Amino acid sequence: MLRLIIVRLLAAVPVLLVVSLVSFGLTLLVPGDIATEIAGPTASTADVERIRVELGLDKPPLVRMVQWYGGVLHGDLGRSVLLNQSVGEAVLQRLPVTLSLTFVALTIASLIGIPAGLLAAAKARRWPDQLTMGTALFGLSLPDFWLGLLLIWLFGVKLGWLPTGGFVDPGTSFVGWLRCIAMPAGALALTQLGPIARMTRAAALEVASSDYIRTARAKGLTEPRVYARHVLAGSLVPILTVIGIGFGLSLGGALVIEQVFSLPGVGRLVIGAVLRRDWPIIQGGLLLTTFIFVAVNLLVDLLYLWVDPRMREEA
Amino acid sequence: MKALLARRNFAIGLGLVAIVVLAALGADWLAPFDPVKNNYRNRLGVPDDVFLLGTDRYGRDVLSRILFGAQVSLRIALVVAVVSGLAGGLIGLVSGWWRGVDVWLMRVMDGLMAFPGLLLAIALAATLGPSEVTVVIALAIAYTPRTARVMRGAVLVARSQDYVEAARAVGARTVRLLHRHVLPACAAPWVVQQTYVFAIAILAEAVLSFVGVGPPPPRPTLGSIIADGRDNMVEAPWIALSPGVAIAMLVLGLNLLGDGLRDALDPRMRRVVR
Repeated sequence: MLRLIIVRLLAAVPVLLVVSLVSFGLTLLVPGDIATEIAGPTASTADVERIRVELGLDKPPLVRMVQWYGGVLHGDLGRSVLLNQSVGEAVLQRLPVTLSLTFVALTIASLIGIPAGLLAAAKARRWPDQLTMGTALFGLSLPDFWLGLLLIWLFGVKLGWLPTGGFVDPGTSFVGWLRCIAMPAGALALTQLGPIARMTRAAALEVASSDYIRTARAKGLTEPRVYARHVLAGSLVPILTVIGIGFGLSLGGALVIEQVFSLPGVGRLVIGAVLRRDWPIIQGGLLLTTFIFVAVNLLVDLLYLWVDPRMREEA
Repeated sequence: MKALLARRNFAIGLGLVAIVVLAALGADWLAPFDPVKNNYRNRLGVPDDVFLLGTDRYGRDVLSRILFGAQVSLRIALVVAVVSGLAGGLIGLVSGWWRGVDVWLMRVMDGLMAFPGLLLAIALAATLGPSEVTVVIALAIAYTPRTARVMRGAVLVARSQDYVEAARAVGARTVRLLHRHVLPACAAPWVVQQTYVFAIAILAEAVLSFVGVGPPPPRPTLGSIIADGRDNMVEAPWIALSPGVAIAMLVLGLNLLGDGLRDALDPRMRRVVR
């Protein structure tokens, strides 16, 4: 068990190395001079020089890389050019919004997608199957940010039930938070529902033909019970995998959804930084978000062991 | 082809894609108005029999903008599918055949795949500056690793087949082995995967344009028309509505095509692709 955890952790090292190299390398790819770009067209030569020194851009790339890595290892991702805040602080401050949005969306998607997939498998090739799989494919094909706009128009503008944007801290008002997060999470969930339902169906179909399911039926369990208890248990590993991947996709999707609903999350921070060329924030946001994604996938790997005792023995 | 068309989903997918592609290709003849010329007299016009899908805040005909926008979006997504297909195909082939470099190449691919794809694409597009070429490069880099993985898997399966072993045993050179025996076996999963990449690229390009790192205005893309419409969601929701429908048709069609191809070419592939 412990050995397996160590092996998985070690396997993540090269991944994180590539991720950090790319994040750092971004600034080397920028055509033109970063300091001039940040300073803007009206800045004096002295201002540009000051920014250059502040960002350490006057040093050669290799020195910058060593310094940057040194900082990252100490948890220091540099300072934002525009926010008067350290990058770590800026990202961590907004992370709860993004993570809660992603989490709620994935929960909704799983709560609907898994039963829908099981139903589709139980009624394979009959109308409930075709209906759920058709809906799943349709949801997968819609642009989530566009769906968000339509939701705003319907529930925010026409019906006036929900706020069209903004964010309330759940500590201040839980209902207010729920009202703010409902539409963005719903829009994000719809795109994640498809993959989860499709994977559940595929896995359940395979499990449903195994011996222990026949035994469950033979001892007189009703079909819903067979599926809810035994087929589901056997299909959990691939379902967890697709939810893990879905987490990364939702993080990417949340980026845009935050923009649509004016949620103060990491996505808005990074996109704002992209448009205003705040390089330390772009690098740090990219790095931290990806680290979280890698960590979540590690967690999913370990969940396999808990879900599937056979894997524990192999380990 | 006949067998493919007999599958209802594939036929529907082909139909949806064909409608959008033909409309985009024929934009020069079909579009009733100039997509970029402002006409302030017709600002935010409700859809009527002159402006079938209404007009935007500069008085430009939304239908004409969608037709020309679809052209740009399709071109970007097609090039992304081809470029990431070639790059990913090559990396996957090398990785699957020469086991010595496999570990290294796949570590790099794993690293790139660890990024949420959209985030990486946005960062890259922002780095390189807004243009059509930039968007293509950014999306191709973000989506090459998946193709490489699929291709590598297919090569690994192919190289252990008896007929490849046999060809090797009679002394076929590497180039001939790859060209005549391995590549044909990998064609099917590759085509299916790239159909999905095409669909994903349409969605991703729309996102990039929407957040403002896509090809610069005034030339429309499907995503940038939605972004324009966002500011007038209250008075003129039709501006954002119709380009989204075009995207949905296209992506749904491509997904159906991909599923159809996958099932028709090899049902066992369900596990490898996607």
